[in-house]
Amino acid sequence: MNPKDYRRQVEAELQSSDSGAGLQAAAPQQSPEQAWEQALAQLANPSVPADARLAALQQLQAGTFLGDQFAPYMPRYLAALREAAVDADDRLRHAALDVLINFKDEFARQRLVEGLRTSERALVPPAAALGLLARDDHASVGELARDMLARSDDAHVRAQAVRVLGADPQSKSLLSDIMKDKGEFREVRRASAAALWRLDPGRFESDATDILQDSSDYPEIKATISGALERAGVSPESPSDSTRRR
Amino acid sequence: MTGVAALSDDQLAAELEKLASPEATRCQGELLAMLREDALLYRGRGTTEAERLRAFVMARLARGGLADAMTAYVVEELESGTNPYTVAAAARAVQAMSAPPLDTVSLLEGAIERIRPVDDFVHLDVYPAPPGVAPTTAVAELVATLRQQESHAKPPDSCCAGGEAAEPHPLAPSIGALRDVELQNQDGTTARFAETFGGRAGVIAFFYTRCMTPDKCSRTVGLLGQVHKRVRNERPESQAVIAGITYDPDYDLPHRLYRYGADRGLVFSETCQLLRSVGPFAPIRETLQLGVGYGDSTVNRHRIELILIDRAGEISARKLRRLWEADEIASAVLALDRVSA
Repeated sequence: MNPKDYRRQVEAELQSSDSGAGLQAAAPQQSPEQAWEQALAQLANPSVPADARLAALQQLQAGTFLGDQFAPYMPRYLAALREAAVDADDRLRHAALDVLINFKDEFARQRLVEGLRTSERALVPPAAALGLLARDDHASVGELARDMLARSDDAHVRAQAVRVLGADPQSKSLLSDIMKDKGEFREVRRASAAALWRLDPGRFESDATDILQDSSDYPEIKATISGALERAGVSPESPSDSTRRR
Repeated sequence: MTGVAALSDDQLAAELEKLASPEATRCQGELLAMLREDALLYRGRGTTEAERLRAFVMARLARGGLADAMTAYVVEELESGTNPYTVAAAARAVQAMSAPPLDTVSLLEGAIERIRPVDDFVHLDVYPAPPGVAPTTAVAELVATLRQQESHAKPPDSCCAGGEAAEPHPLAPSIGALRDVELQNQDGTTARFAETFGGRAGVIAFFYTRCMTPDKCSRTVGLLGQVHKRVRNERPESQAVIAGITYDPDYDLPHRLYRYGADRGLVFSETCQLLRSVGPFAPIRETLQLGVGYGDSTVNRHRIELILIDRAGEISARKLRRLWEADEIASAVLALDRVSA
């Protein structure tokens, strides 16, 4: 099904269910517009319990599927999300940032970057911040990710930093080094393999061959590498003879 | 150009200080250069950050009396922009123009449709913009501009009205200087610029596969396929080259070029190729004075750009910033091919 057909189907389902599952908590006679007004007021109000604000957020997010009908509410939704993104409640903060970063929101990007540079400003832990930033190839955070790799010993942070670098062609050599580094966390090596595969499949195949031929490397790393090569149509036994499949 | 560090906050403040008195017409060229995609203040920044900065610059220049001189940028934004801030800034610039282009009303209507689903509050007079509610949104700014245009409709009274907006950048006359630059196509085959384009008429459009603006790269590459088809249908013996060159050659490796083109209907051949520079992209960018800027990992903004070349490698025409149609470019390629046959 193409995206337009899927969107029409979702819109029809949402409308036929009298404004969607998320709106059922509101009064049944409410129009979607009334429900969204109420949800906006809840999401933006710090005195409302976090669970109710999270439900409001989900209700509004479902509304974005309705396209034109929801369009007049979009600016206020974004503004409310930005308020929720700095709320004291961890779940609400994370949920709001999660939505905002998918909209490529500059406020969210900026605050996540600030948090990685200055921990006192952090809205979420570093690994979570990097994971969110990794979703946007155009966020321009490659330098920051390389900096995090240089100064963090945390496996989760390092793995997420490597994910960010999967969008940065200048990091091919660094990713290649990490992928082959037997002293590195295995989770980070696997993340590097995936990132290098995305950036430069040819280089990945070459490095993968080296790893597979290294008798001292770890079996689980070899299994990951071998599986990636097989999925790419490359025979792990003789990768140099293979051609990449389109 | 990727990997270039962004200006520090102090350096950026010094750049923006130039906007403090944009009325100073002696600085007009320098101020307009701040709208170039490769201007210092955008380098190394993410796309949304660069767009916010650009919107602030546009709004300041418009307020400072330079709205008419910004026509090319304003029209581009209204026609294909997808960022609420820059589109709103373009609308505000229209309000300050003495003679907006004739198609301004239809451009504004198109922009409203495009921005509605991503509408946002916009603070055009402050940088960095605060996150909260503002007095206006991008769509509200567009609607206000549309009303102003409809109520103050007037016949064109200047050289800027109605015609294609003049491109304020200096432009290169020829691709001759690039003859030895090595290119690689979607199949991995490499050849020098002179081998690919030498002695042939053709068209070169610029794109990159990670572009997020549907009316820019995706549309461009799809249209290249249509241009090629029509040229082949009308003149099967034509050796005219229909080509796209990526702004992002380190990422756009052959397999990616192949997939991107195939998905958009390109039928690859010696006369229809997607290409990447094997070495640095800078010689191509600098020689052709391309309108492209970079963040630290990829392009952060670019204009729509296409050049038509004759068999001598002279650039005979360009399409810059505005959307183009396959038929007009195919006709131009056929004319160039016939003239020099």
